[in-house]
Amino acid sequence: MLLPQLSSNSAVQFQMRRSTAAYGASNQLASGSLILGENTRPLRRMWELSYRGLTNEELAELAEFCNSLDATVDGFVFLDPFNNMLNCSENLTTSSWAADPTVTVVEGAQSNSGEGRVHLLENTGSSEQSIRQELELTGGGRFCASCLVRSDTPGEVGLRLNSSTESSSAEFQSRSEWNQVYLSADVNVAVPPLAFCIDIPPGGALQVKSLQLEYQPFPSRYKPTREKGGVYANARVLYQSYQVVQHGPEWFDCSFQIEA
Amino acid sequence: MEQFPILRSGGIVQYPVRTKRGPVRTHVEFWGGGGQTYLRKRSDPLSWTIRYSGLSEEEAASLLEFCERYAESGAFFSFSDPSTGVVYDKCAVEADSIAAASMGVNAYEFGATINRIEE
Repeated sequence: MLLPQLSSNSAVQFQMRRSTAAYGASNQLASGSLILGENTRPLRRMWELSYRGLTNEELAELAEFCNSLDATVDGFVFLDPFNNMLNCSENLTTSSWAADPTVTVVEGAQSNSGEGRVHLLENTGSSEQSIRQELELTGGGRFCASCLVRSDTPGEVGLRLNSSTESSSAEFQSRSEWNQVYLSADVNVAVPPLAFCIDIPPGGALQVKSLQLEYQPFPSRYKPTREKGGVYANARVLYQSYQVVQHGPEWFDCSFQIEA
Repeated sequence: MEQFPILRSGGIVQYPVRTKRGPVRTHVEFWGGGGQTYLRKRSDPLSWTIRYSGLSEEEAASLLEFCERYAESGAFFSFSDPSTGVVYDKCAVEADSIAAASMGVNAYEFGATINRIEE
């Protein structure tokens, strides 16, 4: 289950707030020394989401979502709007990424312009192969997969979003200059995972950077992830945080807090 | 050791930066009048509370990613004191202090408290 998207296909509106809390042990000795223990549980993250100008349908969908969570034990998967959904977007050689047998991944240099680290992807096979990352989530909505690509010789590159039952893909031309490509698609994930794939044609070699997956219709500025991306399982809406103000017919404001 | 993220302006912080330093004292009032002040910590703590506004989405994401990664791992990073320029190699971010807000396009806010860790 995912936070429902509004009629604009975005799941949140400006203004959002995000904070963190830690649980750790500390011990202050008589000598004045302070011993800090490790966090006893992972960081707790909280988001305060505020919506303005919602219609009846949008409000009803959000209300139904929040009410339905009361009956669940495990909560829902929250996709952090402050972050990139992909894990390790800055290192495609980690175990977060899986490359087909004939695809080689070579880590390149860091871009100066904040667009992240460049990777060279090469397919030495005779059929189309891919590099992909799988994310554990269920639910449906509009996702946007994006990256910057270039190749020394003009060629093709594909972006694909796969679930167990659906697949959306788009093909693009790579050129000698950096070019942003993105795939915006409605994907329904009945059974995890959702896979983000870059397809490389046979014999193809291309450079990629700024790989990003977002729960919204269009790509935003690149947010690099060195470890975990912004997919939080077991999230829940904080008890009694749900508030609605009606300003007129079909005109509601709504806010609630999420913890993960 | 990894450095604190740099803004697109080339700066590390935005003014004002609140710096707290000096020994921590406790003052006890006696029942019969008078009192006594004593050092609660013999060390010399140093911390900076930094607040940013008008950040781009990338800058906010970069600060958030950096601070959360260090808060979660308990690792240390180096931080340059904005008022003196002295670089302290062993600094940690207070996990409870990390906060971000998106007020609009390129109108992100971020705040955190960084502590120098003494040997």
